[in-house]
Amino acid sequence: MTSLLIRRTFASLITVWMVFTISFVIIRAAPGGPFDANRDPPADVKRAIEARYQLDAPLWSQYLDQLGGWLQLDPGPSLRQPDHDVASILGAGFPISLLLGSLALIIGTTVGVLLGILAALRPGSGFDHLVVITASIGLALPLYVIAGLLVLAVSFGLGWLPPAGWQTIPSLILPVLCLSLVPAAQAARLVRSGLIEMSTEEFARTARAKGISPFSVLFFHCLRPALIPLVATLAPTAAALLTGSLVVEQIFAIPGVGMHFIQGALNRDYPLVLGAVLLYTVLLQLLSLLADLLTWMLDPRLREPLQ
Amino acid sequence: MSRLSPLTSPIAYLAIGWLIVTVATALFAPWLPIAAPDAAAPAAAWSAPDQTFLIGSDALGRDLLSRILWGTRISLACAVAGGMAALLFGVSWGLLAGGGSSARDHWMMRFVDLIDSIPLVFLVILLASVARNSAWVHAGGGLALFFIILGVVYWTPMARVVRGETRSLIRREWALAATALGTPPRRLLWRQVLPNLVPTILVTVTLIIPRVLLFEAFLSFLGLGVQAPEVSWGTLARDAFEVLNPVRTAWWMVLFPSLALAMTLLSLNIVGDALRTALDPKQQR
Repeated sequence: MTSLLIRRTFASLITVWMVFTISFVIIRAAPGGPFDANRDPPADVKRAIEARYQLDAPLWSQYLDQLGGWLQLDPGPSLRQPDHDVASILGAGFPISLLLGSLALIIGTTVGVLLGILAALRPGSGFDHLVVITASIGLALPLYVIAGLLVLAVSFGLGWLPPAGWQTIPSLILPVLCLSLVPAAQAARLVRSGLIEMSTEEFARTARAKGISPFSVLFFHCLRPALIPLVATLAPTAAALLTGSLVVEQIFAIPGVGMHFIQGALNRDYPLVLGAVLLYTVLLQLLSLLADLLTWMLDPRLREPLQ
Repeated sequence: MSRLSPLTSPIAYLAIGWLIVTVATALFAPWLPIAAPDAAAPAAAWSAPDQTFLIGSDALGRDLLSRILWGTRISLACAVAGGMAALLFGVSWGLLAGGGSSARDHWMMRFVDLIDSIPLVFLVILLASVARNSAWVHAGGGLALFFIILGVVYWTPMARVVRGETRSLIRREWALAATALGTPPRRLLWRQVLPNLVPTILVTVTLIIPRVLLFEAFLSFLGLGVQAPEVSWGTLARDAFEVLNPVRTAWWMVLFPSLALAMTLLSLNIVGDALRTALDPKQQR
């Protein structure tokens, strides 16, 4: 286990380093600097700007400088918001995005697991079909379509909830609902099919033969093995949540990391964009590490040492 | 029951019908009796659906129906181009890996693992941000670059599927017989194995195309994909959200582009599912 953990951590570090290097190459390979769209400044002003952002140093020293800066979590100033550095901008957005994302993950997964269990109790029933179809539609449609229709209906049509913001609980409901759809649909599908598969296993048949009620068999015997695929898909689900948060923060005007990321990308604030890319990469690597650990804890078969 | 029976259910007919209509309007949009997508009529801005503007007009008084139909062209072109790029990359890579020595197979697939471990979506956003600056994109190369990006993002699943299938096919008796008869390995791969992969490739393409369509809509919605004056379903939704406010709710601007995308995605999924069932011998009873 320890060696697996070390190997996985090492692979994650390599991935993060590769993402940094590829990003650096993309930014540097682009024709023209980040300030070229502005009015062309006098030559000495341009030199001063380049010196301020260290754009005049040789490439390899810029690379090492930036790598060092990121390692010390001090990536330097933003290009478009000169009074703020990248770390403080991302630091301000992160708690908001974290709140939104974790609420969506927790609520979505809980609701999805419950729906999956209810659907698996009577496979083939009307409710089962409803869950399966809703989950497929939820996974097939882009988030902005669902969010757009929800905002139209709930905020503008009925006037029940505010269409933007995040500071009050009513304004949080719609963004969290939209963001939780993908984890919920994913969980419902996986738990349903996992439970149906497990209930044909011999241990489930034995338990039923002993007179345990079908509900208890499903809930106490089959649920734990059926949850393993759910945990294993934690990393892809988290990736879907992160990309979803870009859209949701845009629609509901929530100043999280996603909003800063997209704003930065639109006005070519490279250090800010790079910072968000690295933050997302590290987050995804941590979550996939966590998913591996949880799978290992849930599945006793993985714990036995291989001969 | 015929082999293609899953494709003849009523719901599959509906889905295929919708796709045919969509493709046809995309192809023939320039000749349809509709206003030009960029014909602005400021006096008629914000028209709700009526006789002149069947599904309303936007902030500049442009006909929304016409813009959706022209947007279909770009959205579908992205989906097809992305799917083709993934097909080209993925099939070649998978065939070369699966048909090569085990060392080559190992390294080619490690490379695919490596690509899959990188969160490409975020790198693509970075790339789109950088590309906005270059003169080449302003000269119209942006859309081409965009197609290439879409293909690059989604070629790995194809490579995996093709590689796995190739590995099992070249161990079959007919492949051994062909080798024994003196067929060179390259000819065996491209002339004997590849035709046998067609059903698998077809099914994988039906999985990839909706994902490309989604990704185009996602990027364009964020303002990083298709750029004005080109229109796609994603940019139409972006336009709609920019003007969405409680004072003047132009609901048609949100609803109709979303519906076009949603119907097409669902139809693609339904047809893809049916095709998978029809082509998978294990599911035939």
